[in-house]
Amino acid sequence: MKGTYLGEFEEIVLLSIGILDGNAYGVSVQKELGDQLGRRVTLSALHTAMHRLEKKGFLESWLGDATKERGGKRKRLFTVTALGRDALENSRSTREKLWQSMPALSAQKIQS
Amino acid sequence: MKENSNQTPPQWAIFFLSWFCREELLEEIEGDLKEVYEEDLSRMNRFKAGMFYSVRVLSFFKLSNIQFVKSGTNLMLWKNYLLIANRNLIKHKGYTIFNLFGLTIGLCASILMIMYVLDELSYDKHLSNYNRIYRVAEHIDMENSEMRAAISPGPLGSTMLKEIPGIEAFAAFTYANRITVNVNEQKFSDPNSRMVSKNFLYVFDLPLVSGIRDEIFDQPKSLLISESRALSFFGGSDIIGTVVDVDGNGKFTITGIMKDPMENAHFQPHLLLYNGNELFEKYQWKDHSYYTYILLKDGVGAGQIKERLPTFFEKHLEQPVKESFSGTGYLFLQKMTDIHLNSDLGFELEPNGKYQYVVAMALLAVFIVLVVCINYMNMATVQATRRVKEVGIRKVLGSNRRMLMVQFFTESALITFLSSILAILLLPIFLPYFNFLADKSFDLSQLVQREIMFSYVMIVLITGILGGSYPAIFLSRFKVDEVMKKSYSLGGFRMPVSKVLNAFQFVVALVMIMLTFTVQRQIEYAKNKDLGFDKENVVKIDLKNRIGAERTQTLQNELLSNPNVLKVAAAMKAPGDDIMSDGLHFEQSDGSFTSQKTEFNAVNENFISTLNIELVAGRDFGGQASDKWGHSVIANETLVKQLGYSNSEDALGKEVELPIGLDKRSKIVGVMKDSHMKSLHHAVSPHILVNFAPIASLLLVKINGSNLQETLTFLEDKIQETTNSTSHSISFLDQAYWKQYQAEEKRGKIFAIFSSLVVLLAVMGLAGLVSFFIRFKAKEINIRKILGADFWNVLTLYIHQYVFQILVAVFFAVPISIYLIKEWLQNFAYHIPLPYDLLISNSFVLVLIILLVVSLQCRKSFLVNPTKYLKEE
Repeated sequence: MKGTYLGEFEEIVLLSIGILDGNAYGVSVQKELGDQLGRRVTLSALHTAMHRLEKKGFLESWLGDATKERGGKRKRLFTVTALGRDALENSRSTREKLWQSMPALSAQKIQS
Repeated sequence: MKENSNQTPPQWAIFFLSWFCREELLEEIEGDLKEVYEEDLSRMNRFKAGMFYSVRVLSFFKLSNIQFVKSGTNLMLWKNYLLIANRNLIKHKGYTIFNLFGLTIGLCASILMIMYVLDELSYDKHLSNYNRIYRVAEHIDMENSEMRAAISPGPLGSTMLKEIPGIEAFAAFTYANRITVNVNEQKFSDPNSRMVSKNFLYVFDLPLVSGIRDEIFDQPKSLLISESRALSFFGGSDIIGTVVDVDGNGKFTITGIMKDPMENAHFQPHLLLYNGNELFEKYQWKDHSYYTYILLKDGVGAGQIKERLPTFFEKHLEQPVKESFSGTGYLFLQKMTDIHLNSDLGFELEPNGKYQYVVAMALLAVFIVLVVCINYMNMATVQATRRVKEVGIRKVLGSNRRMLMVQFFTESALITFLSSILAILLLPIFLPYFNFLADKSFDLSQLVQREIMFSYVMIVLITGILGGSYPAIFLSRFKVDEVMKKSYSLGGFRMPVSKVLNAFQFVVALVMIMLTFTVQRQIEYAKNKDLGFDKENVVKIDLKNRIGAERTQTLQNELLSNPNVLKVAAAMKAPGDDIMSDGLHFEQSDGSFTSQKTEFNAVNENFISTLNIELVAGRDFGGQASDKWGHSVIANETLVKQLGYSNSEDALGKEVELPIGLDKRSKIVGVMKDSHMKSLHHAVSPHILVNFAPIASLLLVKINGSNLQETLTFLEDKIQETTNSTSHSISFLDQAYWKQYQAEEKRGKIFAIFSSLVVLLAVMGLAGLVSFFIRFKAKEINIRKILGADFWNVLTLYIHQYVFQILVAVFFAVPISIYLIKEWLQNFAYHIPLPYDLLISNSFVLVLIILLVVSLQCRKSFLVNPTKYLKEE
C-alpha cells in the first residue's frame, strides 16, 4: 500500500494504541509509552500525532465517558483501523526485509 | 461518587485554554489535562501541580490547535451576553442612568481636556524644521536688577552664522511696527508688521498661498502678506506684483501671500517686509530691538552652540552691554518649541501659556474620570452583591461564576461604549462655552485628529476596564456560602474599600471647591484694591497711531469743551497695558550712575492729575514751556529706594539718561506714590513717567458719571473730526485694566463648573452606597423598629461610620487645599491671606450635606413597611 509511510513516533503510538485495545486515549497512551519504552512524550505532541493519524485514516475515535477526575469532560478513545494495521504490517515487513539483507549480523539478530 | 478534590488548576490557564483552543478539541484536551493534574496532586503540592498544568496548557498552544474563525455558536453566545447585559441595564434603570450620566459627563470633560492639552503641547510644531530652530535670547545683569529678554542685537544672527559652526541659517526680524499702506488712495494699517532677514522663509517655512518661496525675499522692497490681510486691504488675492506705498519706507512690491498664521504658534505675523539684509549685518551691537532665531545643521546638538556662546558674547557684546547698562550678561538659547509653555522673558512675541496650567487641566480631567469611575465601580459592586445572592441560590459552579464575570465586563463595556458616543454627541453643546473659557478656538473637525482619537479611545478603554474589572475580580474572590449567610460582610474587608473610594471622591470635591472659592475671592480683592490711581469713569481712547504733539493738544482742547469731560491726558501706555521696561541709567545717591531695570511710560502734563496719582515730592510736569520734551521725569517711590535715596526729596534734581537721543540728560522733577500700573500679579517695580507727549498714542479722559452715552458719542465724534481714524478703540479704563485677570477668571469658572460636578457625583455616589447599606440592614432596622426604636435611635446607630468617613476626607482635603492655594496665590505679588475661614466653612457645609444625605436615605427605608423586608429571605 502506497502512501502508508509511518514515522517512527507515529509507529510506536499506533502500536501502543493497539496494545491498549479500546482503552487508548491521551493519558493512557502517554502512560503506556512511559511504562513500556521508558519514553517521555508530552501530551500535546501525542495529541497532535493521534489526530494526524486519524486524519490519515489509521485511527478512528469516539468520545467516551466523562469522569469526575476529568472535571466532567469526556475522553476521546482511539482504535487502530484496518488501514492502520496495514500500515503497521507494511512497516514491519519493510524493516524485516532490510534486516535480512544485512550481511554479518543477520543470523544473530533474528533472535532479538 | 469518588470524592473529588476541591482544588482546581489555575483559573487563568483554564481561561486561556478555553479561549484559544478549537471547540472540537477542547473537551478532550481539558479532560486529559485535568486527569493528569489530579494524578499530580497525589504526588506534589497544589502549586507545583498548577505549574505543570500551566506549562502543559502552553505546550498545547500550537497552530493546529488554535481556533481562528469564530464559529456560529460563539457569535451567538456573545449576542446572548449582550442581550442579557442590555436586559440587566434596563432592569436597573436607576443605576444605569446614574452611571450613564456620570460617565458621559466625565468622558465629555476628558475630551475637552485632551483637546486643550494636546493643543498647548503642539505649539510651533507645524513648521517642518521645528526641531532645529532655536531663539537666541539675552540675560543682562545690572547693579540692582536683571533683565531677561527675548530680544537681541541686529547683527547677532549673521555674526553667529559666520563664527559658530553648526548653524545652517539664521532668521531675524524687527520689533513690531505699525505700518500704514496706501492702496488706491486708501490707507490700511496693521500694528504687526516686521522687517525680516533674507533667509527668513528658509528657517520658518510658513505655508504659502501664492508666490515662489525662494524668490519672495530675493529683492529689497519685497512684501509678504497674509491671506486675511490681503483680503481686507485689497479685496482680493491676485495681488502679486502690486506696488504699495509703505508709510515712511517707500514703495514695496508684494511678492507673495502666505496662509494666515496658525493659532498655536508663538509667532503670528501677518506682514513681513524685506528691505535688504544690511539691517541685520550692520555693526550696531547696542541696538537690541531685534529677534534672532537660528536653524541648526542636521545632527548638530544645541550644546555645541551653547558652549561657544560665552566667548562669542565676550567678543561682541561685553563692551556694548557694559556701556549701555554698566553691567554684564550672557546669551542663551531657547528651543522654539519650548517657548510657548516655558518662556517668560521680557518682550515676548505673544503672551505665552504656562506649563503648570496645562498640567492642572490634565489633572482635572484625570480626577473627573477617576471620580466617575469610582462611582461606577461602587455601583457595580453593589449590584454584584445583589446578583450573586440571586445566583447563589442555585448551585454555583466555576462556570457560573465565570459567566457573571463576563456578564459584568459586557455590561461595563456596553455602558462605557454608549457613554463615549453620548459624550461626543454632547460635545457641540459644550464646546463654544469651553472655547470661551479656555481662550481657544476648537471646532469639531479637530476631533478627527489621530492623537485626539487615540487618547480618547484609551481613556474609554481604561474606564471600561477599570469599571468592569473591579466587580469581576471582586466576585471571583468570595465563596458561595458566605454570600448566603452574611451578604454584608462580603465585604468584611471589601465594603470599606467602597467607602475609602467615596471618601477619596469627597477629598477631590472639597479641594476643588476650596480652590474655586479662593480664586473668586482673590479676584474680588484684586478688583477692589486701591491701585494708587483713579480708574473709575476714566475712558481710554487708543488711537493706535501717533498723531503728533500738535494734534494731541488740539484734540485735548476739543474734548474739554464738553462739560462732562473733566480732564484729558495723553500717554503711550495706560495702566493695565503691557508696559515696557529697559535698563536705564540713573544717578544714585552717591553720585555714580547705575543701570536699573525700569518701567517707563511717556505721558503729558495732565497724566498725573487725570489719574489722580499722589505726588510725594517735587512737582508735576508743567506744559511744554517749562518742561521740554523728554527732559523731565517723575519716578516712583520704589525706584527712588532702589537707587539708594533714603527719602524722596533727595532724588529730586538727579539725572537720568534716556535712550531717546536727547542732547543732555533728563532730570527727576517729582516722585509719585507707588501705584499698581500692572496687575496685582506683579510687585510694584521701579517706574518712571517721562514728559514726552509726541510719542503718545492714547488718551485718558476723565468724565463725570452722568449722561454716559451722550459723552461717549461726543468723544467718538471729536476723534473722527480731528484724526480721521478708522482703527481707534474706546473702552473704560477699569474694564481694560481688569482684562489682565481675564484668564484667571475664566479658569476660575472652569474650576467652578467642574467642582460642582464632582460634588454632585460624589454625593450621588454616597447616596447609592448608603441606600445599599440600609437595604441590607433593613431586616435589622425593622426588627428594632418593631421593638420600639424610633428613627433617631436607628440613625445614631449607623451614622457614626459615615462621620468617620467624612472626617477622613476633611483630614486629607485640608492640607492638600492649603498647599495648592498657597501655590496659586504665589502668582500674585499682592494676595489675600490664606482663607482659613473658607476651609472651615466649606468643610462644615460638606459634613452637613453628607449627614443630610445619610439621614434621608435612612428615613426612606425606615418608613417602609417592615414586613416587606422580613419577607425577603
